[in-house]
Amino acid sequence: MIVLSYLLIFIGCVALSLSMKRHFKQCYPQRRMPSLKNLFIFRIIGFTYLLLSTSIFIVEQGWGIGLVLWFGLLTIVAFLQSLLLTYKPQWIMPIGFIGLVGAVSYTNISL
Amino acid sequence: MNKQLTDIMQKESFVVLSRALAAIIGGYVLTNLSAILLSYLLPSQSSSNVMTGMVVSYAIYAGIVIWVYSVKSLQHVWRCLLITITICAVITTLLMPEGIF
Amino acid sequence: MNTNTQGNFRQSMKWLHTWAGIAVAIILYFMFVTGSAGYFNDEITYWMQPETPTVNNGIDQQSMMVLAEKRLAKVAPNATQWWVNFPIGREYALSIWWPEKTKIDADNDGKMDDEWHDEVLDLRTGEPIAVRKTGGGNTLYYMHYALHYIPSVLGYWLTSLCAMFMLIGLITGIVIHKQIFKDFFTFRAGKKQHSWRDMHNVLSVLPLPFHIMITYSGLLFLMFTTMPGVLTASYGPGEENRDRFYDAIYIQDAVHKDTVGIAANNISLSSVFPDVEQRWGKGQVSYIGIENRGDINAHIELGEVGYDGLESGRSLTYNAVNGDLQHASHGSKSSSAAMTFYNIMTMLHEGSFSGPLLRWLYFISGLMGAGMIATGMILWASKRRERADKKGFASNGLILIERLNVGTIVGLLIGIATYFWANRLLPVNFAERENWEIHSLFISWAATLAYPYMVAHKRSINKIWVDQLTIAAVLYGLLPVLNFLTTNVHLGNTLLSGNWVLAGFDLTMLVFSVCFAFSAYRMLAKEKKVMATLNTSNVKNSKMARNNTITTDKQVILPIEKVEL
Repeated sequence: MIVLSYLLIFIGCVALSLSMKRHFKQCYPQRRMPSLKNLFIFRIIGFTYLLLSTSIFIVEQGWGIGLVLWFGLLTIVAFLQSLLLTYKPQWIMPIGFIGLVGAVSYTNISL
Repeated sequence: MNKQLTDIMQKESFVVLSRALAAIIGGYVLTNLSAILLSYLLPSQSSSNVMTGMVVSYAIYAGIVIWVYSVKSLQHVWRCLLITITICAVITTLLMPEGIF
Repeated sequence: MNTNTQGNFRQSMKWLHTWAGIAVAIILYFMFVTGSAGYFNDEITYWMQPETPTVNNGIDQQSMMVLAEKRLAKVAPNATQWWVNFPIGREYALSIWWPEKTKIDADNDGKMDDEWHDEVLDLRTGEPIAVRKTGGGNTLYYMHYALHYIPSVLGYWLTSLCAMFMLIGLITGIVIHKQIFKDFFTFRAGKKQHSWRDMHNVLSVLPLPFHIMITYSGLLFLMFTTMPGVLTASYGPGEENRDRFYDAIYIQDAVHKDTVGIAANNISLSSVFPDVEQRWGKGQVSYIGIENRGDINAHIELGEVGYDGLESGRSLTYNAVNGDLQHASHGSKSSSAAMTFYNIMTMLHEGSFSGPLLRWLYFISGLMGAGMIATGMILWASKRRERADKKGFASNGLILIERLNVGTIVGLLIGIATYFWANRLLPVNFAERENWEIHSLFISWAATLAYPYMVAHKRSINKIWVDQLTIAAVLYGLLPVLNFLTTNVHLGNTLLSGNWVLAGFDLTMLVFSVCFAFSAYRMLAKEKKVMATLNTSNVKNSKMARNNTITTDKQVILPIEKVEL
């Protein structure tokens, strides 16, 4: 379950950074900037994934440890994300996609 | 003499030091007094009031320091600090339970 | 120049942020680094006592208990307390503890005082094992709030003061940061001070919940020392009144009766195990102890390994005369909302409830805190360095901070590496070896602080960074090698036997070494680039520099360092 919530946090971070103009440009230097509305959708997706991962942690580990773990992981993942955006922005979408596939298949297996 | 004094008071190092003292020492005294007042005025029993006062004291301290540094006039800072400290000290003395010292 | 009084709120907060930070940066950095290491205090101690026998899972706790009790009866037949720690959870050895009445303090009216003794036991024979004396991870952990070489109370006050500066730094940092969420992931590389600012922001904002929690709870830990006014104003001065207050806030969970002076035979400690194992299952005891030994009021206390949420696990208290269960506790109870807040914050700070993953997250967050302080120090210097380079001269203050930065940021880490080296190199029976381990930490740190001054005339500040980073890379990188040469708990054995704690220590040192080597390499590349651009305008620059020497008497020329290379 920790793996799943870790993936969800990562996907959330990717979506959140895509909702910011500067980082969208880093991931897609050629593509035209999407409209503000579409950027906002990315933001909603991002927060949804983060919320999802929080709830998984809380259900799995209880309020105390769940939240501590979530904040700890979010810190590390967001830090890695900011390094990726700087040095290897072209890796983000593939990794995000693999993460998504991983999360979906993980959920299917455990269900 | 008077002119010398104003000269010193306008020196940068004096201004910096004075403000730092106001924040650190003045802030500490006022923090303690207000935390004590809080522990006197809260409705529940004294042990938990004392605990509350101690637990929030650092937030009060931080607030005072921020205030000291956000006010432009240093004289105003010291005036306000000293007046508040005096008022708090008087109320604290009045409210202090008898015979604890 | 009243920069602090002019301008708007944000401006004054910026001033406060900068100077509150730089004023205590060195101590804060020290606190963050040693505190982070403290999250692995038991593991570090384990590594620093390589004689500790490897845990054999085949031996059950009750038979360990029999051995421990036999040994205690031999070495401490008259002790009023016996304690045994089992190698479970984050304990890595079977150890026994007992107090002995000794006259220690001459100034204490010759009063008898307890001196604690401890031994590590062999799991099969129960005989004591000679483990080397070491400061271990606990000394690092203890230093992060009590510092070293000064009375601990003074240490508490100093670290609390620094934590207060840190709190101010955090609040003002939030105020002056214009776009916390917009810049959440932003790190622009290769842009001099902007990159440092971005990194400082990233290292501050991402772990912000951790930073706020760790700072405020750190203050709360020491509040009985640093905020005694509130307590005194309601309970009065003196130790007795203080104890009255503690009795009121801490609900006595276990039944701890005092001795009555009537001698009685006590049951053996291992005899309670069947009942305990029925309640908790096999092998779940983390410690067991007997208090008031030999008295009719003697009792046996056991703690369960593991945690229930943030709270420590269950404990059981037995009557040591008839073996009846006196009390079974489950977690702590709080007497008030403030007490709950205090408990939660201090538990979060210590993170004792953490499993391996969470412990690593704590460690990394702590290091990010150290990185936040370090980047703040570098940012301070690099901003003024850019300005100074434009003007052609730098102030003494800037040069001082630039040199202190290297000696602090890399130097402390070199000091800690030396601490580990000393542990392996000092002879096992060296007198006061545990103190000399720590002395070597501070001696080497002092050397790295002095080094920039000793070589200032021939090496640029960038070169000094490269030097110290290289030294750090070598010291950390060779630690596993040293471990291989001096002990048999080296990577070859620990990896094969799956001892991930000891192997993890060596591997972590290798990772640190790679990080330092990489930084040194990048720094060297940067220095070469600077040199290349300087060489083209060498003549012009040195002329300018010389002019500056003449025109400014008190200011020290900065470019000269680079030019003369």
